[in-house]
Amino acid sequence: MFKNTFKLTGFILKREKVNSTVWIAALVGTNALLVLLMGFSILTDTAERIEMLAMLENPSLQAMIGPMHSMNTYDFGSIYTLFMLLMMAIPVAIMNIFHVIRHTRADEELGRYEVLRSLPSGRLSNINAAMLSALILNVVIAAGFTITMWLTMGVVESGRGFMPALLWGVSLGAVGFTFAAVAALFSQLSASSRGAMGFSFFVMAIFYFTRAGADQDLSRESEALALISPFGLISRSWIYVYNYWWPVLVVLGIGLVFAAFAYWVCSFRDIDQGVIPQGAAAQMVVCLCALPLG
Amino acid sequence: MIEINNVTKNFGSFTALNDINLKLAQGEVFAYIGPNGAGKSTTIRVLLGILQATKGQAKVFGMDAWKDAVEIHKRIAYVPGDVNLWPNLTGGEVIDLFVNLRGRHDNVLRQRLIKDFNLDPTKKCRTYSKGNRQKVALVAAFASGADLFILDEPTSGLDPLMEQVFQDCVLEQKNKGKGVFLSSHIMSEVERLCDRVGIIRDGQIVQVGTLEELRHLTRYVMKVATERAIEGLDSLPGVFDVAQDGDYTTFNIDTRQTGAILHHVSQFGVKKMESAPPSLEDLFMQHYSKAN
Repeated sequence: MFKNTFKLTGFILKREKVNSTVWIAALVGTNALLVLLMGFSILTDTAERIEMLAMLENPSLQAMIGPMHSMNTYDFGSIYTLFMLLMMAIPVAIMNIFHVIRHTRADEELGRYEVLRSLPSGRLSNINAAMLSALILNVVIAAGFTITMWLTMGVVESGRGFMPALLWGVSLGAVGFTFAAVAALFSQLSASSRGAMGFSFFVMAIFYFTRAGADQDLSRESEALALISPFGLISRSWIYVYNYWWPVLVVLGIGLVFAAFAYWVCSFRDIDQGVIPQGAAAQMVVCLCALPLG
Repeated sequence: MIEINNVTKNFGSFTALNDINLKLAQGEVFAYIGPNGAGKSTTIRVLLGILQATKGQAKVFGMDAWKDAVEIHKRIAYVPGDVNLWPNLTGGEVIDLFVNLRGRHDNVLRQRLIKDFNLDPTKKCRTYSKGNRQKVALVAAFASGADLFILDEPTSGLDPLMEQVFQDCVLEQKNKGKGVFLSSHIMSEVERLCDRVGIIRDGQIVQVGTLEELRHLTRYVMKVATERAIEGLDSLPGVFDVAQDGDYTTFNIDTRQTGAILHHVSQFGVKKMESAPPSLEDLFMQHYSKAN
């Protein structure tokens, strides 16, 4: 079933050399620049930070960026992560969705997968290679974010340890992996790469808005709703405040569930076929728009 | 080497293959012909274990095509009719990948094939024409040392010169005792290479036989205008379906009798003459239309 996975993984990474390097460098570089920019120009003293936090005591803003912690700390790290965690997690998720679909359903649609499958490679080798390469990319992403966060945060604010920076990096990598798994599932369920992309982004939006719904409730009574979303979970790591690690584990667990489901579908389905009938996505959108909400 | 027993494949309510039976013996070249959408590629995909038969069983080397796909694939080479490659890799890198996955390869043969097919393996795949992409897959296949070649209209996009090189490669493999399953729509190719022919239409095998048994498929169409009316044509061996079409007399000939027929016809003062192999469409119209 998994024969030649490592060779295929190497092949994917070879094809991804330029593309992924650019993506990761851009994301990690943006993070480093923003830390320095915000640290030295916007949030330079406590008064500014108190003012900023007061502004954030607002349901719609928290729905957008994530929940505020309840501790009265006015340090830069906690405000930065509150502001930027989801803003960074979304592009990481998008990158992973693109990556996995490019190497699964898109390859299949173009007839390249057929050629690979006619060689001695197992039925699950290709999806496994796509997930393994995504895992490697996310480890690199996590490492990149950790190092840049650790270095730049050290410049802005003294006395910041390595562990919160590591938690920041690993949280983003874990979200990336989970959305890689979401994309892997839809690459198997949908018979077109456009469909797979549409469903994956739709799930990403659902996850984002469920936590938005929970986070705009400042009384924190709808916490459970936030905990089903990878986005809601990682923002409850409270990096630079409490530094909880359990949300990362839960996020990875969600990813593994999606991945297992994807592998299962891949193990029996025919080539060029999906499980969701063609055009189902369009019908679903039509139905949703017909709802009073739409 | 191949044994397809009562294989049926449904896609939802559509029946792509309906109770197919086929066999391929060692050292045999089998031509699989049929119009577009008849089920040729579906059959091949069942053989490759990338489609699961709804009913029946497909066996390659005595192993189940779906369950033992990896084992089978170690000993087969497949070339699709429309090879799509990775645009940012060179042709050589793609061949390397195939070799690497297969783990078996004849490097001397590879160099010779690259030369014979006149392929530049240092170019990126995005710069290749359809024919060149096809050559990449053909070189990788023929250099693989596989025991069975499954070729799905492999020469589409190749020029006549390369078509010749391809045919030589197939014959070379045949002489080594390898099996070749060739889906094709080029009658001259089928005639030169194949021992047996299977014809599929609408998911059903219409006829299977040796080339000898299916001679009617390889007749040529002759169209002749003469000064005097041609006499005695009907009674000549190898002449079929004589018809008068204005100044022209048209008839089908068995290519083995070409010399004698030309000799006979030339007595009547030939003014114009055309001859052409029948297209596959014509053959199907003539012999396998839905009416019969």
